[in-house]
Amino acid sequence: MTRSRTDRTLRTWVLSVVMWAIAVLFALPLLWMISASLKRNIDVFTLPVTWIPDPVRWVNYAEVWAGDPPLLRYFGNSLIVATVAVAGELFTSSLAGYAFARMRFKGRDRLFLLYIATSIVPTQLLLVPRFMFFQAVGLYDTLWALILPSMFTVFGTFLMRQHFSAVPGELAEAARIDGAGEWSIYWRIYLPMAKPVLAALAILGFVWSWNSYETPLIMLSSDENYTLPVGLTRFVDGDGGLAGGLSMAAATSSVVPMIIVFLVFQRQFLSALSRTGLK
Amino acid sequence: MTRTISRRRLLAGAAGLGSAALLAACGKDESGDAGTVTLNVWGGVPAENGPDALFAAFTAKHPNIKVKYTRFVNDDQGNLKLDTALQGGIDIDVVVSYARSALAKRVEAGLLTDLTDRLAGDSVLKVFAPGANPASNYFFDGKAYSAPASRSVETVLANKSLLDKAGVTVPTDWTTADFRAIAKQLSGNGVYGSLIPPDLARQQLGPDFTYKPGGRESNFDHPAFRENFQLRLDMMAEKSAVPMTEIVAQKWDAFAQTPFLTGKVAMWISQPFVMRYIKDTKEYPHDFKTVLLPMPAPQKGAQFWNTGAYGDNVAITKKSKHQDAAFTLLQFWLGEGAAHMVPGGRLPSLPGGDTAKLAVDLGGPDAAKLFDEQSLVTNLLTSDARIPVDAIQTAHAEISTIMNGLNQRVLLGNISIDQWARTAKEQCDAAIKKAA
Amino acid sequence: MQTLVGSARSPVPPVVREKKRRPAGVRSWLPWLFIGPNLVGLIAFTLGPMLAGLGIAFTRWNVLSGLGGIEWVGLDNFAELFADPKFWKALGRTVFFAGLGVPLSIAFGLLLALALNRPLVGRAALRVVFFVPSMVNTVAIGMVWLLVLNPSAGLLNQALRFLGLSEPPTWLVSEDWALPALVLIQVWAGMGYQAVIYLAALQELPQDLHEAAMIDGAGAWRRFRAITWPSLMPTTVFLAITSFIGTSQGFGLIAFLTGGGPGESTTVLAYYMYQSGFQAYKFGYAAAIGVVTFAAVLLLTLLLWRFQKGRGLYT
Repeated sequence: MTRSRTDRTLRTWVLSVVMWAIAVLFALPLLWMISASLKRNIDVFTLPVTWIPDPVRWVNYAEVWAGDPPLLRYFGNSLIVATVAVAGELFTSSLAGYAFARMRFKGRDRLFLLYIATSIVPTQLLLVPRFMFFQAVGLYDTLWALILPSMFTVFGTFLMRQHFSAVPGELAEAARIDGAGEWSIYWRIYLPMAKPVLAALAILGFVWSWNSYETPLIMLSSDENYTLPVGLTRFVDGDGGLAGGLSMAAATSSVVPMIIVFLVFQRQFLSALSRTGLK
Repeated sequence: MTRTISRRRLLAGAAGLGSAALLAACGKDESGDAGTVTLNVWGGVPAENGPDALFAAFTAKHPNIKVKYTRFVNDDQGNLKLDTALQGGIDIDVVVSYARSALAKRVEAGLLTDLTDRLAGDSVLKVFAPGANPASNYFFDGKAYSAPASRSVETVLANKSLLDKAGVTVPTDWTTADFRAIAKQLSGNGVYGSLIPPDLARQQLGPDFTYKPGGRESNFDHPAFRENFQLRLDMMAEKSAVPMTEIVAQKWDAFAQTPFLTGKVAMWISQPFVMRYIKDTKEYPHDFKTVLLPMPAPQKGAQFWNTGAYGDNVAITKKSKHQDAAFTLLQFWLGEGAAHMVPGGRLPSLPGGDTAKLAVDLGGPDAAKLFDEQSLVTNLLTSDARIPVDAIQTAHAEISTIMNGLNQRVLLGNISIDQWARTAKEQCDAAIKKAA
Repeated sequence: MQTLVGSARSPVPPVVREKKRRPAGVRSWLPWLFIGPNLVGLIAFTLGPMLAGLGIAFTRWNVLSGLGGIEWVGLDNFAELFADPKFWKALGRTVFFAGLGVPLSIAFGLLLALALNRPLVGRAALRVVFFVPSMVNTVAIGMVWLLVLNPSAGLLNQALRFLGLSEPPTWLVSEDWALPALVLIQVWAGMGYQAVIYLAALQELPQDLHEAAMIDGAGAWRRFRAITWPSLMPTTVFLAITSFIGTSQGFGLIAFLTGGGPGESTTVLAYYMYQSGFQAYKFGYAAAIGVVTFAAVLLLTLLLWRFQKGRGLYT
């Protein structure tokens, strides 16, 4: 018994070492990004690779945050878009997902199939019609053109439906006997139980919105409306070609919020995903 | 209970409507005082590199016309953004197109105002109207939709320290063979003698060099193209020109100032707009002088074309409500205002500037430290180089796409020059046929 | 990576585990009130544009000339498409790209999840390290890899030269290696996401089965084959379908890194569509490519779904 336990500890240690070694290799590109973000442009390409920048240019960060192009502005726009879009998505998806899972009505399954089919459409096919639409209603070059389409998603509805389908129905039955209406059953009983899933959906939705590139490229024209991914290209394609240090500082800055979100919510995220029936 | 629920239900439904109302409230604002006009101008040059000064001077002269300048990044995506903005109803009065293909797209989509009559009727700008000789503007079905604000002669920019160190003196009437020999002499120790050798096909064939006369057929079976690629491949092989892999990987085809100003490339064929990098000693510190050499001749003593271009095609959008004001700006931009763009490296398209003043503006305050000033005047400002202006527009965009891919392939060594010539001819002929 | 994170939004029902459902036939309009907000938005912003896109496929239209410039051409675009060698080559590259990238990232994702599900020193931190790439946006990923894959000074080739490979591939600059290089980036960026989904599924695996098998003396491999792999099958199918959809749509990375080149070697369908639509402004043609892509992916999805059903994986 003791032997097998030491065996197991040993195995844990060996596996840990192996995994950490792989992790370091895996993270090399990102470490390089961070290292390059602290270098002068001339120093980014050097042979052999220098990992510790010399001199360390913290001023790169000051420059990308304070200067032109206005990273702070892009950051704010991304935050607005992601927050509003996710809030809207949570609202509409949980309602629709609930109805698909727990209500019976004519044409329900066919409608759901239609939902699924729309998710296969290449986004580029949608871009031009959406562009014409937003232009017609005067929302082109506003953040709404990014927010609106991501408020009503198939994925959110699907995720919520999976969750609500897996919840036992007895609770609703009891509530119904007590005379509660459908809305209050949804609002008081089911929605509170769905909190972890809502959190998972919020994270995935946030990441997706934060990284969305093609849509803002088409829908926005003014610099002051750019979101981060489009704004980042301004550090690349400017007149100086690849502005190595500065663009890496901007890129690193854009990634940090995502890392924080994942670090904070990792446990809830995993447990929530495992409850949605995606397994 | 039932009542509460139905009210909440109502709320849920109303939320949808509410957001729609909110949207309606977020419309765009129209501004503009009576009497003054604000022109929205989109261009690719950073505001501080000329446009700011140009427009300030313009408004000083025309106090009732204000200018709001928006800078777009002049790459595929930046142009896409500009085009969608144009179509998307953003107020844009004046746009600058840089590549001919970008201009052609805007013309074909009917976004630009026909300027033929205005140009022909202007005592100065009539040189850009159809029929003017020599041609110095692009025309589409015999009409002009823009006028060029800059004339960019290509020269060979050379690192004077490296030339001196190798003890090289460049003859003024040098040839391609001399260029190659000197490049080879300058190469080694981590230095490439040149970035890219001169384009022999363009130099020898001039305007519309990709078409056979008449424009019904492509011209890629002409021996000048073969000669051009052979020279480049040979020079890359002997490392007197930068290998294609390096150029693609570092995106040096578009932005070569870094290798030149860090001393990795000794000779760089380019246009005067790159002067602004040379003068930007904060971002590009370097301790050598740049000397401007004339383009080498393909054959000794033979006439040849410069590989530069008339560019910065200023156009007025069809949707602009201020056509007259916009044309006033165009006149100023190409005329007396052109001087303000010189420090940014954009030389006037109209002849007759004061060479001494141009030299001072172009060279900047540190000219003596950065340039061989005499070469600036002799080889650039008073250059009598012939600039070819293409007149045939048939399938131009398609041909560019095809050739970008093929040129890359032959230079990377994926196909032979023979294969290149055959495929180019075949595909471009097909594209021309389809377009005609 | 955008495509992979984005792919999560294009789901197909893998498992529908319906517990006892109440016949909540209450009032017939009530469900519509619940679905309403989502449905209205979906019709306005997805379904409507989708039908419009389908319509555009039958026209010749330069979007810059506005709605007045639409010209009905019937099936011309499709006829041209099927006769276009560039289209077929792009299709082939898409198949290669997805056919190599999707299984690899799923396989690595599964391995990673299995490892990260065991007791490890600093497990939480490890999970973050592996998941981070799937949260980084395309442009940032592109910038980093552009530097990593630089033929002469890049990190990867320096490492390869150190290992004694004197002429390492030139990656994004090479016609033969550019597409594999993109697969490499895709796998790197996507396997963290796959691993997280697998990890979530692993949390719910019945432990008692495992223990019973262990007592029976089943080895690790047999336990994996007999228990873990079958119970993960719905997840695998889900990931396969969503990744295929995501990969077939992704072009951001290609637009940024190679622009479809060198030559045409990385012009996959999604990029060809982008090129036709947003560079050449041939929107009818681009829409036709989109419609064909849609049909192909739909077919593939149905096949995978069938496969799952046929294997009796419904629980």
